[in-house]
Amino acid sequence: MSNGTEKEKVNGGAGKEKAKKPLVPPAAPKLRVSPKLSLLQDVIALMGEAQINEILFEQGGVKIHLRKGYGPPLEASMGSQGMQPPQAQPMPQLAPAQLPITVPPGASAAGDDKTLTVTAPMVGTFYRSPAPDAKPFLQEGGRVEAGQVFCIIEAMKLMNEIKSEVSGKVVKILVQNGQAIEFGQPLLVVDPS
Amino acid sequence: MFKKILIANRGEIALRIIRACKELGVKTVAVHSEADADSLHVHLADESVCIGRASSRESYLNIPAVISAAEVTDAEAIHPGYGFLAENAHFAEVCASCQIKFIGPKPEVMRLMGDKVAALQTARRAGVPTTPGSDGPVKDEKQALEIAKRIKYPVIIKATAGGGGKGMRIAHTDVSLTKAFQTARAEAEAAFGNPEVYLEKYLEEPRHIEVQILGDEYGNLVHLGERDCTIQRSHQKLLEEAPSPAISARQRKLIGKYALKLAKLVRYSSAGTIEFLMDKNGDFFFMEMNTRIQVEHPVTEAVMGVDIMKDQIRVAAGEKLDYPKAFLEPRGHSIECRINAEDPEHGFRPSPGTITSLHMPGGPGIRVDSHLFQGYKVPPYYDSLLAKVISHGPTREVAIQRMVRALDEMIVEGVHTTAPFLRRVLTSDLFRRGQFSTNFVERFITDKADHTKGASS
Repeated sequence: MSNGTEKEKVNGGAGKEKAKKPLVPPAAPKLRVSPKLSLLQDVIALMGEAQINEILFEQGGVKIHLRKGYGPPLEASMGSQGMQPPQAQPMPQLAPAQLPITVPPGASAAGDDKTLTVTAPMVGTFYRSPAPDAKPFLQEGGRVEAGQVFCIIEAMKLMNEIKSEVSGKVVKILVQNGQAIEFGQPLLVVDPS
Repeated sequence: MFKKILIANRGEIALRIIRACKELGVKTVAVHSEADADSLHVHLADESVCIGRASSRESYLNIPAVISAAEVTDAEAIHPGYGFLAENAHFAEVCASCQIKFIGPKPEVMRLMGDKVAALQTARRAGVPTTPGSDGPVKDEKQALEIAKRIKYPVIIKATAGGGGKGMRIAHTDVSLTKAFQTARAEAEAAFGNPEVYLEKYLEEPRHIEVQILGDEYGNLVHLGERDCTIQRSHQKLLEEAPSPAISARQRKLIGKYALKLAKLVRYSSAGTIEFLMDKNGDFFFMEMNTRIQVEHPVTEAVMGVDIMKDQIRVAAGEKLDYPKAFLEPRGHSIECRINAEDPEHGFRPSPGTITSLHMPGGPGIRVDSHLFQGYKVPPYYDSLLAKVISHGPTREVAIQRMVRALDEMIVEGVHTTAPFLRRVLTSDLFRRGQFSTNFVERFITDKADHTKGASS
């Protein structure tokens, strides 16, 4: 390794260890059919978490159509059977944590939290500073500017400088120096206000 | 033996690799696109790494991402499966330069046999019969017409960088050859980035017979018999069987000998398949070589009692092949049906969607290789293979019976599948008699009268 830093394998980073559990067939779709109110609450929560503007959800004879106050309605034909290229509104089955939320298109997350999450654009090892004994690019509580290099991701023995696409206050750095990370992994929480 | 292998693939073959690794005590790393985050192979692997967005180019074909994932997980070897990077010599070289073992043949061999023209020339050097043809790339229409005159129509134009049945055109006359030549070059450029084409005599109504070979890194090579893959639609295999119902024991020995001669000449290692066409007279012609494990390997595993995937991993780990010198005859008969998410009633158009109801068949002589689970959302970005159902029986009749039973028992709802079509093929008189050629499916689709027993054909 070129810069001599020990690679730490942290649970939750790339190469996540699976808990040793008996082999059980994966469960049915993540939103299980529950009493109608609880189901509605689940769908609303999903819309907020995954920043969906409109959902058409159908399961077990229950059909739910929810739409936030802005944006044009979806076509009636678009449902879970649709073989469409990925839209801005993901299908209910996708787990919100898997989405690459770099800069959400305009809409802010449900609730008052206006922070943005910056995710990894590649697989590799995350480094906070340009060299082992150098100052880190960012500190929590400090600022980051769009276009600024905020970390290094090492891949295939190359140190890739990663530029931020957003400006704002660094609320939290989500990964540790030397941690193995995967594509789409959340790295920073930034408050753009 | 390796401590950890990274699987650079997805779907059923990723599962196949993980299963072999588990039996060998090897830890597994699954790499996946965002679209495959909920995939079965991701759940079953010991570790997983998301390597990119849904498109193949950004994920499964993304060499830096795959290599980086191997580095951060300390994987010692990468199994490329089939398709994607499996026959990418550059990828194999990158692995080597990063001290990661690529589970497959050497890059030079992949490069040589991946070039269709070079492969044909190599086969000739090995004394293996090849289809008469241009013996090299055809540079212009004038040359194409001259060659066609020599070898006689019909002829087929193929891309030298091609494969998998893509970028091919058949011509019966000078006029159609002139048109087809230009079209084929344009298609080849678009599909493979290389417009080079070559010409071959087009064998009418051939059978597609391929030989499985296996080699270790000490020069030991064996062949594991043949598979008959004649049932195809637009050069895509639908159903495969071993042994071939159309060849004799003497012919089996002959193509086995040809396959080994070629493999020895190029010093082949790992698993590979040598494809032949057999004409109406029972003569064999080398067509191409696939330097990877193939989709249909389970039928060979069934009749030969072997585990090709484990053997492939073992030889990559430096073990010696331990097969008897004499070729073991196949035991019984095995058929594989590829169940694709396609609608046979509408030109086999792709049918992605969510699997709402799933029941896989079982019972004697039935094996199912599938990444499906109930609730699984079949993504539209990759191939349409849902499952492979493999039957094995003491005779071809029993293998067919078991397959029909299995297809009747199988339930896959939420998407259209090719299962009902395959069932009709299996119960057709023509299929049962075993006397058919590669135009079988075409004829079968247009002449539905064939599918009832006893109908004249």
